[in-house]
Amino acid sequence: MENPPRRWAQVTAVAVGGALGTLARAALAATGHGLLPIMVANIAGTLVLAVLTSALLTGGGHGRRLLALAAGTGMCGALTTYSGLVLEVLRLTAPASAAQLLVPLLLLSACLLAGLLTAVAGWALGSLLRDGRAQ
Amino acid sequence: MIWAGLALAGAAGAVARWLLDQGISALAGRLLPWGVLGVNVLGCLLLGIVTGLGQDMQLLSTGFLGAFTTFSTVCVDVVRMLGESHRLRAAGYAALTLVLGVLALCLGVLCGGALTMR
Repeated sequence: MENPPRRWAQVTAVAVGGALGTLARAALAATGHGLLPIMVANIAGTLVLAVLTSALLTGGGHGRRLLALAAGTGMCGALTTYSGLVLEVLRLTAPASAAQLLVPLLLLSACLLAGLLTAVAGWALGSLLRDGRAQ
Repeated sequence: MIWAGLALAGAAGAVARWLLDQGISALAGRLLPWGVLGVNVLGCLLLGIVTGLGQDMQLLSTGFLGAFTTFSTVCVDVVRMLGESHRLRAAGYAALTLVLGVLALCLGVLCGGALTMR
């Protein structure tokens, strides 16, 4: 793509999306404890990102690029968290030694697997939207 | 008022992630998403330290670090790699994210805990 959007426009897009995603995640976190609020946010954000990335795969333009930055990098990136997830998994499994790290690793893998399945579904949906646009 | 703070912290976290990702990717290349791996592991380390310090810094942990690290990008990138038949790469990247994230957070907690004893 020639002439990508100006730096300040890209930063603003990421910042605005980041603010929105963070507020949504914080609001969800206030609804409950444990893994569920974190994973609801993570799954939702992964679904949206997968659809978005897949749907915007073809075609350039400043508008699309900035949308991807705001909604994808910014919002989905901020709505979802990895550090918060790891912390909560460790809190729940409370490993007392290195050997006991296997349990949190397995639980974390299960969370990641859920995310991967979500991403597959989202990607498929996004490509349907992309094909729809192309017609 | 806390919501304004969270919004700003989240905006900062997202921008920091994006800038660091770009910087790392430019240096390390695109064989693996090193930038995302870097921010996720660094974010886990920092969150571990904050936790180990025992301070309730919601703006830093929920606000900044929550936005700084990302789960969605990891999942989409792994699926992309699988779609391009880079199965070993995808598995390796997922494994690195899992293991280094856990280790970094644990290390952070230990460091943070050690710091509070001084």
